[in-house]
Amino acid sequence: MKHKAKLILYVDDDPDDREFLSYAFKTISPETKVVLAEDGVKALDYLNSTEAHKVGLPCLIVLDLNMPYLDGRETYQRIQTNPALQNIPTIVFTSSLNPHDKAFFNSLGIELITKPDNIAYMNKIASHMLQACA
Amino acid sequence: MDALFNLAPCYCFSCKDDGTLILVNEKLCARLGYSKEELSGEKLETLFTLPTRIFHQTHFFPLLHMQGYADEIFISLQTRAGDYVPVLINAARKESEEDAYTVYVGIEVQNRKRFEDELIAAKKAAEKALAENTALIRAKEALQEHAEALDSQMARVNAQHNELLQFNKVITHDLQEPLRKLSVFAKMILEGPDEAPQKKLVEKLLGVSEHMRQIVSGLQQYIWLSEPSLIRVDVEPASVLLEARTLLQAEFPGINLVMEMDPLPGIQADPAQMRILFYQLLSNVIRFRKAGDRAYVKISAYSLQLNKFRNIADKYSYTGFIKVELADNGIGFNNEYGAQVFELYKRLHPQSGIGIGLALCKKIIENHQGEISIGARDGEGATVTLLLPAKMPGQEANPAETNQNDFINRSKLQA
Repeated sequence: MKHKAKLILYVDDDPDDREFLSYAFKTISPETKVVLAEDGVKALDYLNSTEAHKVGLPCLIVLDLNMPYLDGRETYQRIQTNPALQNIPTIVFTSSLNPHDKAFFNSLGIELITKPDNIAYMNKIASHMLQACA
Repeated sequence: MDALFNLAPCYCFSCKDDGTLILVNEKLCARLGYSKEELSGEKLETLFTLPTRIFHQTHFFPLLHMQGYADEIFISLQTRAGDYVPVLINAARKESEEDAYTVYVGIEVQNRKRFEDELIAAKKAAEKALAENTALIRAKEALQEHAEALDSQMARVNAQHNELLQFNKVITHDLQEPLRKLSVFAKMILEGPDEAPQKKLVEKLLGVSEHMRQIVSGLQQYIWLSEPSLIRVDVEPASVLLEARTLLQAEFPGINLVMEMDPLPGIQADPAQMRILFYQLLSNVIRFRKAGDRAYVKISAYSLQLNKFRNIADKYSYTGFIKVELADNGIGFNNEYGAQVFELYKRLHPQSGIGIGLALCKKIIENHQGEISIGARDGEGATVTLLLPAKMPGQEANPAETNQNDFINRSKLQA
């Protein structure tokens, strides 16, 4: 169990950010598998399919906030309606400076990390996220 | 004769032309509180109130003199104590060779006077009620006008509140993301291993700054549409659609935009804003067509009456609207997310556009107190439904044509 590869689901509509963060995970923890989803709908599709196939749920969900179809908040709320998924730790990773978003996720005890404007910080963020992996 | 005169159950008196009383019957003497003797040789005026004296001199007597009689004359007699006795009089004047005299016969009309007063009071009350009712109707009309103004102000406030939320989203997110990216790519270039910056990163940098430019210019357009300078003239949607189609055919050269159009009723709208509206809607038909070089849209419309009140409950004022439907056969989208397409910089198909077109359309429709909605199915086309104010009735042929020409001239000026 201890040696089983970690699996992280990263949901973000921005291709650059998907590339940066998954590159950072690969750099600091090559054995970690990162599944990428372009929006909330695709993330839910994935979660429901893994659940169905018993491949194994991710140990962490990293959620962007502003996405088409389902935004981060709505995606989180939908995940929470499924008892099999609601205990997966979630970290919000966003460039949004909207105080309402911060207040909403803080009240739920969910960490909100602002996307850095220097990718040199990306590795630090990735390793911090790995620690949250259940 | 005198006995009959005295016994008559009415008031009788007679006098000479000089006003000296000849006879006053018992019933009248008793009513006025005089004895026959007291009145003998007295003047007629003794029996009259002051107004009656004047009336007698100026009207009553001249009338008797002229036509010899006067019927149903209302006068007031006066008792010894000074009380008024309303009386209805018939009088006749007799002329003989040596003398002339007048006989007056009257009945007291105390009750009749009361009825008359009541009648007049009732008439006055009715007139007052009518006036009040008119005032009430006027107040009601004013209230309706105020309610309508309030309703449109409420719509404006709601729209402005939504705009603020949208602007907040643009500032806190839509602009933050590319700003951050500019910094990310610039630092990657600076801290990169090579002295010469990587071409790929510079291209990304330029791409991000172009994206920001589009966001800012879209926002400018959106704010421009929020200014309240709206022109309302008769507009023929068909000509605006044809004009937009011509512009789009030039912009998308290889694409054939097929427009199947029913006869469209006239609307009352701002021509410049209608140009933007139909241009954006048709441009969506082209950009979200199915694979191939043919885009198709079917446009139909009909008139209907709708309640002007959108915000105040239980208020009704029906007015003419035109419902226009644009149904395409393009790629459509999942209808569950339909509400998002009208938000600034929300895109359901990230491969095309920056996500401003339908936000502008919604703004334009709100400016016209109309409605816009969109229904779609993934892969099976989308239908946009618009509600716009109908052209004012009674201006059928010429005025519309003139306005249309105005509109084309103005469009040329703006181009």
